[in-house]
Amino acid sequence: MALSSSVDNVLRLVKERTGLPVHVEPDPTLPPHLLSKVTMARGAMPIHRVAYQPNASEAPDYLIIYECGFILRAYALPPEARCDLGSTEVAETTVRRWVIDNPKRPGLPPDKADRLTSILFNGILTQLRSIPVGLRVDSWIRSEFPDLAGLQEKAMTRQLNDCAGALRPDVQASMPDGALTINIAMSTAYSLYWAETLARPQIALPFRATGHLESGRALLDIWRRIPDDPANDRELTDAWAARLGLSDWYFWAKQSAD
Amino acid sequence: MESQTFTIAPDAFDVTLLPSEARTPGTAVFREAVNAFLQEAFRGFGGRATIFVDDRRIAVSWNPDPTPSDPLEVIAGKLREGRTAEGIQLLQFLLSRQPDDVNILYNLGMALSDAGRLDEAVTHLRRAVELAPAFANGLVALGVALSRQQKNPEAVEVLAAAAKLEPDNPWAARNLGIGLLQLSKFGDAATHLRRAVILQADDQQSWAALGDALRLSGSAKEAEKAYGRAIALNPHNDLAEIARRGSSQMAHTTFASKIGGAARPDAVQYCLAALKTYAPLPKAEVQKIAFEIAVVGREGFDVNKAEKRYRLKSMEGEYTGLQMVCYMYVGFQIVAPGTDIGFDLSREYNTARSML
Repeated sequence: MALSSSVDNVLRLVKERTGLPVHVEPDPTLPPHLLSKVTMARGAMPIHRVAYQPNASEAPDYLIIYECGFILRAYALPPEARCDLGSTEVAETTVRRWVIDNPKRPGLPPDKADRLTSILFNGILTQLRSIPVGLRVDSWIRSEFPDLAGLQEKAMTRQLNDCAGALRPDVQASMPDGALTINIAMSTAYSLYWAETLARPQIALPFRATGHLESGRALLDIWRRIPDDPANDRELTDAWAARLGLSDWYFWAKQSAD
Repeated sequence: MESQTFTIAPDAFDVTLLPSEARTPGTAVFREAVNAFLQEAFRGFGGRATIFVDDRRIAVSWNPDPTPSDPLEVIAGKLREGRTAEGIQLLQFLLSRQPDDVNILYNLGMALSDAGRLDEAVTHLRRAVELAPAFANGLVALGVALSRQQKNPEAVEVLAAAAKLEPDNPWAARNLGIGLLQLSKFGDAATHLRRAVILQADDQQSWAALGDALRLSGSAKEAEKAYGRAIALNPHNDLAEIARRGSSQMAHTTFASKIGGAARPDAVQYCLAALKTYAPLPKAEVQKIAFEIAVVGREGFDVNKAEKRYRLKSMEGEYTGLQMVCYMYVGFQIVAPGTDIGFDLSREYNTARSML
């Protein structure tokens, strides 16, 4: 499938700004909920890699530009200011306690508890890493690439359907409340952003119908209050974390050369 | 377009969104209320929503139209239907994305103004006219909101700017006229309201206000015509009542001016006759007559033309306008003392009572 000129332009822009090319490839091994993924160049990998879910019916253009948006924001900062988010022991310990003490699924075997703990705390930190800054990228795509609006909305809807999974009766009946609350607050902020952007309040309906708008609104207010500048992305993430009680779940590590 | 789908447990539904009698999951009324709430959420937005509610789950799937409607049109429709709170919320959604969109600021400002949220309305409308200083309708909406805030001098200033920008804008002419009326500048008000009724001959509010402006500037005949026109356009609404009141006040003023403030002898005689007529009747009968007179006089009695006659079902004979008003006044004083019928005959009434 031929990529649009918008993709070509952005790939060229990334190369100009970072001095390194982007390797783009479909990756059927990505988990179903992960539409795309970026691995930025470092050490022995002198290229950026963007992988996306292959889907015969849809062009990957939006997904590629979305991931390139993260590269461009990271490289808008001087090398010494580029950081990665790593998890602390507090994150894992807290979630493990939630899993073990979860009255909805008492007596979970240790191997299952380990797996669930890992899924939950990694999932929450992935959301924290990707949603606030990802909305900056989406906002940029919406204003700079109107030709991608259709693909962007499709990806948003898939993402939203995935987010609403946390409200499913089986998930609500089994997952620890602590994890659900944090996950749903971030998903609600995401849905509110799109509801407001597209003037379609129905987008936030799953979260409104279940009484979660307030927590999402607080996060979106933070997002709007902090100026859109890559230099503020860490502050934005920290502010969401503080609001969600996650400040001690992670640390910022300077991006290493290798 | 991708479908938006979600499934939630009935007991996870925020029951505060439902009527108080429908908040118990597992009941038929709960299921119906959830269904109605969700249907309403999608109404007016095009596309197709499939909603399934039972005791175990609430499942929703929505396929938006591939070519969605203009959000402002959808919102305007909701505002026209009187769904103001929802319209305001949607406009605020739009504004958060496009804070400098003059159309959104204007529509939101007007909706807030109509909802009585005047400080917010004025803020948005000021922003709209700051961004588009030649936007006459924006100035008109701002002027109206300021006037609702009782800031009449500033309102008139803004409305005059709108009328200057667009001399053929009927809303500017009408609201400027009304603003001037409130500042007691009756002659100037009449000038602009005359213009308004030329520009929009079926605007009842302009005619009623023109009647007031003419009455208060001393053009009684022209005022009577303006009131008549306002009432004829729709005899059954509040504006018609305002016009009737104005017309009645005018008649009263003319009536009072003829006798220089003293009790008018013919009216005293009519009041006396009314007191005698009502004396043997039970209160219910008096009330029936007084009410019938009020209905007959809905369009106003002409108290200054003795040749004009009125008939009642409840009393035999023909009566002048002044007789009718006197019978009505006396009747109401018997049934509900102190009632203001819009025509002060207290001097005549008290004189008549002293003659009994």
